Amino acid sequence: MDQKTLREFEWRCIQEEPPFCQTACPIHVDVRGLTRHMSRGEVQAARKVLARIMPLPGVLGLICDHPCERKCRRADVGQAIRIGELERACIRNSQDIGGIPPLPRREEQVSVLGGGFSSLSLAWDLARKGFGVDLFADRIGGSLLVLPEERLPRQALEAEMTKMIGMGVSVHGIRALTADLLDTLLAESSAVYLGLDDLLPNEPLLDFSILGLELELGLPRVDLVSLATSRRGVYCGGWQERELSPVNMALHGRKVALSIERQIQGASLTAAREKEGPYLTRQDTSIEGVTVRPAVPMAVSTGYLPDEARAEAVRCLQCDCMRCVDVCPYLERYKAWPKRYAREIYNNLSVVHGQRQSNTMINSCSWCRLCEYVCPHDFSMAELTGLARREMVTAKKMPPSAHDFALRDYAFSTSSRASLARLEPGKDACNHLFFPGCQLSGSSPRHVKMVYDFLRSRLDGGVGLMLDCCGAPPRWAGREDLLTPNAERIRETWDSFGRPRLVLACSTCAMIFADILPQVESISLWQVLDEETGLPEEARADKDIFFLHDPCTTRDLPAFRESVRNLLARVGLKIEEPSLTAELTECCGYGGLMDCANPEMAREQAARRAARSEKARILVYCAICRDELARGDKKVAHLLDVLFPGSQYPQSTEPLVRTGRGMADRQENRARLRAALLDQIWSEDMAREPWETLRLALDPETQELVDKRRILSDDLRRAIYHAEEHGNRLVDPATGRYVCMHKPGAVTYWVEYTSLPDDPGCFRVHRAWSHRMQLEAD
Amino acid sequence: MQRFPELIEKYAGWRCERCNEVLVPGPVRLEYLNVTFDVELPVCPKCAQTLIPEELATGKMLEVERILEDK
Repeated sequence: MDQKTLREFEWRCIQEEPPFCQTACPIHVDVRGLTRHMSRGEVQAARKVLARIMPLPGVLGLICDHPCERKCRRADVGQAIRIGELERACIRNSQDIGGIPPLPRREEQVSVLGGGFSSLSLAWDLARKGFGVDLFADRIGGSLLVLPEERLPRQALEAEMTKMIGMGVSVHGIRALTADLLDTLLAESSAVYLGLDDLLPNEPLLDFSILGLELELGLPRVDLVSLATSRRGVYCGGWQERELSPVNMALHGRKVALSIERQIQGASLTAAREKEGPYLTRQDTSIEGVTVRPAVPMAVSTGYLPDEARAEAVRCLQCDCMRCVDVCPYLERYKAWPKRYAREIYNNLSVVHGQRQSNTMINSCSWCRLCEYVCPHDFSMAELTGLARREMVTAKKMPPSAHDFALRDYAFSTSSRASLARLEPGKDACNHLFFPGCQLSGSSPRHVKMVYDFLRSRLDGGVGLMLDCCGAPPRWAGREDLLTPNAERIRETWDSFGRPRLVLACSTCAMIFADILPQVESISLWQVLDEETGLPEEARADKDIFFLHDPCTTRDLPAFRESVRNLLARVGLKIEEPSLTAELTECCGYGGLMDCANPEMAREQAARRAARSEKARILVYCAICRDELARGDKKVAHLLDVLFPGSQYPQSTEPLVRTGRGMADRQENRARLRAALLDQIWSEDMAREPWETLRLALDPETQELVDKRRILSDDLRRAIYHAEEHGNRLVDPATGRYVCMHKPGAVTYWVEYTSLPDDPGCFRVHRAWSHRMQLEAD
Repeated sequence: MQRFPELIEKYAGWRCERCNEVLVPGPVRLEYLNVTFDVELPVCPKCAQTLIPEELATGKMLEVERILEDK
């Protein structure tokens, strides 16, 4: 990932953008920080927030004209937060924290003319930066002095002036403003400021033309960004628009302080200053679900009492944008937000020596793209982590264990032991090609046969069958190199079958094929059942209401979702949809190989999804969603259980519901399905490997252990077969248990077992484990 | 060389079936992602068949594998 790509990703995430109030404030007071502390009753800490940004906080905090309130997001759900009153309450109810220690004294001296708030703010800022300041003023306060005592106690002004003098500001009486005076001051100091908010009301007929400055409407002409006049070193501000605005006066002072610093450094006075003063933030806070609450009323007209202020501050929404994090346990887990993740991933990819701490984070995203759908700027973690995974694979930095199981599973599904492609018996081409997908074959093989039989009986033009994998696992693992030959293989078969229409049971297959085989026409099995074949006679509803779960790969496939709802209505099954449904559905925990790279995360994701509804039953139409969601307490039925109940559970009290298959059994199911179909439909016999006839006995705890450790029955059988054949095994004479090992690839498997004397050919498995480290002799 | 006395003790008495020898503690070299580790494990004194116990595979070894994978 290059810097430019990183910036593009970062730009999309607006979580770190400042809130509306802060960018509406001319000097960008951290209002969120203020209200956060005020809401907890931390008045002193709140004052520190003000003092960090405000000049003369003991004055400005009392009299600020709060333009921030006009942009407050709370206004749409109640009334704007009364930020001005909160600032007043904060200043009045907290201790003055004293002067801020200025930076080390600089040698430059600045002359500030006028006692208005723009001049005082400038003097304050300059003193903090370490400048020597001569303040020439007869009326400290200038235009502020029109404010009544109860609004601005003069004592507060005096206290801040005392502080300023302590910070090194010298106060002098003002002399007549003449060209000579300006020349003298410019000779003695680096810069001169003319504060109109005192000078003008004082001398309404002040003739600026004598100062040798260019004028505009009788006032010195200034550049609005820097407030520089036509004469180098002379600045002017403090004019009023419409009404008294202390915070705009503070902004004038602040701008000039920065201009003077730049002037002294010899830097541009105007470059890159767009974000000074009020600007529009890119922040976009959702108010969905926020309760309307009006402003807290005041018991006395002079201002909020401490408890009232606290209650008012509690109303603050603490504006930010965590839409995606709020709906995604994965984004929540790493305790940040996409912009931060983009940076972490960029850093992770750039590591040369040292820990790559974001590997697991990169590999845990389900690629469900819910973040993209809720984000105002379409930030996609799938896109980001996809790019990272592909890059890690290319750089040979992908941890071998991350996707190993899924890739071996993929290799198996596409191998001659599990895959199959046949035309309908007796036909030499077909109009339709049923592609159930590897997970349905692995999880519910009987349904593959039932559906295929049904489609052949109802559709004209021949229905072929293809047991295979679309290539989702390698895509999720960043292994595009494995995906391309697979696409080519499937395309060749499709071509040789007469370019039939693909009938897909799995939305992940639909998503992948749309991308890798765009020329291939496809339709969902659900749409075919809804619009073309009708339902099988035995289709039946359950009396209970189910919570309908859409797979995350249907997000872009409205036709899939609609057909499923039609089918449910036709069969009369009642469903309830959770708040996150249809194009806003969530992942079950398998997508993106989350379950493979981070099983714990996947369990959490599945649990969160299952808990979205209070209903005890979940209806799904994706085989892997069923198996993932069935790990919790809820009963999960697949749509095929409803439409093709078959004769398997005639007496069961819960005919639609069963628990999921373990990962380990899926390969076996696929292999058996292939063999059974070849035998029953095409009358072909297939050779079996010698170890496939071995029978295993595992108690439920052991089965769970091997599933969890991703050890397949096939691996157990091969290990035991080789030990039995060649005697390569260790034995514990005390218990008669054997331990043997088997290393089909990168992983070494160990099995502890006993043979069952009463049942030859059957072996009891006690324990099984694996590791990736190799014995050097290997 | 790292030793695991509790594992040696736990698997005391186990035999190599083919050689009919009792396993004895012996040096074993393990390798992962180009890093090698010398450890002591139960091995057959005759054919060097080694036992990697479940406790080691799912404990210390897994831990080290993960660290190396994030390097």
